[in-house]
Order: sequence, then C-alpha cells, then structure tokens
Amino acid sequence: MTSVLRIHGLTVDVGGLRIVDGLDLDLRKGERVALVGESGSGKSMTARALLRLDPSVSVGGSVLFQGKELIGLPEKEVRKVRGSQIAMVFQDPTTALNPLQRIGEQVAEPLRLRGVGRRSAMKQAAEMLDRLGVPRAAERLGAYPHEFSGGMKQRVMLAAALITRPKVLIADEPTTALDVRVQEQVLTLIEQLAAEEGIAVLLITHDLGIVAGFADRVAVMYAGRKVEENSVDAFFAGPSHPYGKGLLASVPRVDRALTERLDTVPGVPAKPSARPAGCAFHPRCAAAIDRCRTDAPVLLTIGTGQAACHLIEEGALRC
Amino acid sequence: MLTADGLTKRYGRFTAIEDISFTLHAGEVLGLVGESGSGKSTTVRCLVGLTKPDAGQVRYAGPKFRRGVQMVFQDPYASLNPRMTVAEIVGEGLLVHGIEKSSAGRRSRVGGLLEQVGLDKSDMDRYPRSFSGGQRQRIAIARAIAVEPKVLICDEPVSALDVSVQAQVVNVLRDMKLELGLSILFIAHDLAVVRYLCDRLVVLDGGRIAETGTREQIYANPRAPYTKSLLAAVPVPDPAAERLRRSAR
Repeated sequence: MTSVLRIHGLTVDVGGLRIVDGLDLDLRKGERVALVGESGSGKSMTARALLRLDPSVSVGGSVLFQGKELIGLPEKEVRKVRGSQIAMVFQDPTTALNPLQRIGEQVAEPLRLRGVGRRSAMKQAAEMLDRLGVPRAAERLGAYPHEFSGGMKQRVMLAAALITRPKVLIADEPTTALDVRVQEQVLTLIEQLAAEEGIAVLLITHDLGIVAGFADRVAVMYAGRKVEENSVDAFFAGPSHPYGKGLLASVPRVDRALTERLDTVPGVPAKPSARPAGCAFHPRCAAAIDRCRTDAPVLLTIGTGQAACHLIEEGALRC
Repeated sequence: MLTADGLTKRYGRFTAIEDISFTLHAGEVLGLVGESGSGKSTTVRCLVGLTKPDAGQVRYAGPKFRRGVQMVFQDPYASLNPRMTVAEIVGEGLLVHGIEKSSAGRRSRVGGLLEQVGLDKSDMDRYPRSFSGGQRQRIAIARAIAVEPKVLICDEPVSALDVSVQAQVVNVLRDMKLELGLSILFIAHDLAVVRYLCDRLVVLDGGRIAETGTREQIYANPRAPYTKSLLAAVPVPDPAAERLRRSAR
C-alpha cells in the first residue's frame, strides 16, 4: 500500500524547547492511525506542525504528502494542501466554529475559496451534512452554531473538513468534549466516510478505549518521541514498552472484574522543559537499569511493531 | 449524611432538575452520573447552597455544614489560588475554622495531610504553578480533608487528568474513604471510573432520576433503558470486543 503521508524525523521547536523530537510515522491510503499520548507528549503539536498552523513554531525533518515535501514549502503552497488535501478537526467544536456565521456558509467555505459557485457549494454542503447525519440538513444551512448541540457541531466541523474530499483527515481529540453515546456516533461516521472515500485518518487522542474501536495501528508518544508502534490487535494484546504497558493497565475498564486498586504509572508525565536524560520515561519506570538513565533508546523492530526500550534489547523485559 | 429531598430547579420555562431525591449514607461513595445537561451540576449547586431550589430541600445530618461538607472541583488549574503556597492553601481551613491556631502547628498538620495524599512534605512552600494536574488535584483533596469533613463532594475530579494520573487520584479518594470513613458524593460522566469508586449510583437523565441502585445491580443488570444505553457506549480497550460491539449495532 502506498503512503499518503510519510513523516520522517519530524522536529518541532517552540521558544527554544524541543517539543517533538524526531518522529517517524507513515499513513497509508484509507488507513486509520492513532497517535496516543498524555498532555505534553507532543501529539497535538505534531498534528499542528503537519499543517503548519503555528507560524512561530519551527518545524524540521520531512513530511511527504503523496511524495511532495511539505516542510520548507512557502506558506502560499502550504495553503493549497491545508484544508483541501489534508483537513483537520479539533477538540472543541464550539470555539472552532464562527458563532456569527451560518452553518451552511461555514461548511461551504472551503469550496467557495476554491472558486466553486455559491449555489453548487451550498448544495454540496447540504449533501455532506446529510451524510454526516444532520437531520433536515438542507433546511438548516441558515442556522447558527448556537442552535446545534455539541455532537451536531462536531458533525458540522467534519462536514467542513471533508467537503473538499481530502486525502488525509487529522482529528485532534475530536470526541473528547462529547458524551459517550455521541462520541460513538461521531467516530462511526468518521470511520464510514473515511472508508467510502479512502481517506487516511490520523486520530490524536489520550483515550485508549476509543483507539481500540477505531484505529488499525497505534503509535504511542512520550515526551516528544515515539516510544512504541504496533497494530491495534498486537498493542492491546500486550504493549511492548513499559510506558505503553502502564498506560493500558491504568485504564479503568467495565469489561474486567473489579480489582482493589487501579494500577497506576507512578510519578508525573515528563515536561519538555525538564526532559530527563537517557530514556525520558526512566524516572517512572520500575524496571529501569543504569543504561536507561544515560542513553536514549532507539526504536527496534519487535514482531509486527517497534519499541524504544533498553530493557527489551537486554532481554530484561517480557513482551 | 446528606439528603436531597425533591429538589426542583427551573430557569424560566426550562426545568433543569425535577424531584431529585437521594441520600448519601455515612461512609459510602455515591456516584451521581449522567450526560451533559442531565442535571448533575444543578443538583450539586443546590446541595451546597450555590443555587436556591424552587422546591425541595437539602438535609445534612452532621455538625457545621461549612466545615463538614467540602468540595473538590473539576479543574485543578482554576481551583487553587496561584498566589498562595501549598501550605497556605491547605492550611487556610485550619485557620478559618479555628482548628489549629499556631502557625507551626498548621505547618506540621499540612505536612501530614500532603503525605496522606501521596505528596511530599517539602512541597508545601511551593506554588500551584509548579505542580501537574494530578498533583494539584491531590492538593485540592488535602485542602478538603484538612478540616476533617464528614462529606466530600467531588465534581468530576479526574475528568481533566491524564489516564496514568487519573488512576493515582482515584486510588487516593478510595484510601480517604477507607481511612477517614468519609462519605463521598462523586459526580462523573465516566462510568468506568465510577465503577471503581462508588458503592451506589444515582443515574440522571434530562433532570430526572432514571435509576438508583447498588454498583453490582447497575453494572450487571441495569433496569432503565437510559442506563443500558450509557453502559453500552462505554468504550473498552479491547479491539476484538469493540469490533463485535460495533457490528452488533
């Protein structure tokens, strides 16, 4: 399968701090990949850097979109890709939509910017909203965002993102602000549309529960680096990296017998401003050895995936 | 310990909650669950007196409501005064309620409280900004338990936290219940977290009680269709189970 998006050695620096440090990630046509991490892991900055949303942020490495290098491209050229070829939806549909602009105009805007006539753009907006399950879509083009619920607003966001038939959709915590039942509906809609149109989806999230139901592959970030990547089946059957193991174990689940206490990962997530030397996870790792405190581990191939951990290399950890 | 009796609150023509009745018993953790708009927040506001209900009343069985009922809020970045040190934040209640008048005595009490919630004594002279979300939430718990309350009301206390840290805070709350015999009203929308902590549940739907029951009954055998659909939508970190569930819809 061909890669639509090939990220290699991506670095993101903000105010002299390295937030993302050499990330590699491949997105194939129609594939759904989850980028998982806690706050400060660099997952959202990765998403924003791919689309160059923050002009003050310095982005390095390589991002190939259908073979075309995006890093170093002038803003004018980036604009041809952003939104129309690579689209994005954000966590909070309430702040992402313009409260003073009618729904129809906001959904149709990406088409209007590309020179599509108003009548045709509005017709397509109605069709897209309809596909995303907005009831009486054609009649509601004139409504304002405040007339919609959170779940309906997120559908409007998705319609605006998908109306140009992008090749890649970056969804940054798209359902975090929604109730679970609505969350499930929205994820199912993204899944269906992506499958029908062959759109590759990069889902940025901290919620392993939704990853299991949505993604084909999962990459785990910690302190700006990818520490593990695998197929969802392999990852959820047993993560390779101690952080992945700890993260999965600390998820409360309704499908397991109750235990006395929840498993936890001790300590707090590493901050980019105080990145521990060696493996950034070592202060929280119960099995850390001397090497973990000094040398940064590299990603090794393990089974169907990859993990960056000295303990695995030394055979000290069961995978 | 704390009883809501027929609480009703209307805003104009909109009924936020209607006839909400439940009792938080001594030493139990009661979960108040529901989706956004279900009336959780209005119920809590009525319970602590921030909103006056149109009908119904709140009864508290312990002494001194203002000391006996303490709260932990959702957003640990907004609930701690950034200009106060941890010692001042946690010790304030001890001073206000005249529990510990000497400053040295307060410092020693604060040190003990911090250790109780898994923080270090030496953290007490730092300001909230140097703590992560999970640590701040523990500071908020230390502040709440400092005045030896009978009831702790926790309003979505782990919703804003990272998964690995959320588990730490849930365990601290569980310890507080067991060690201090606290009665805890735990307001949450995450049914997986609620299951770990709560002995009984009150399920709210559209401002009314959909169902009340023990943890065992609600999770194994939910009666209300609303509870069933909420439980069915809780994602589980198991790809095979998720595929099965989705294909069943």
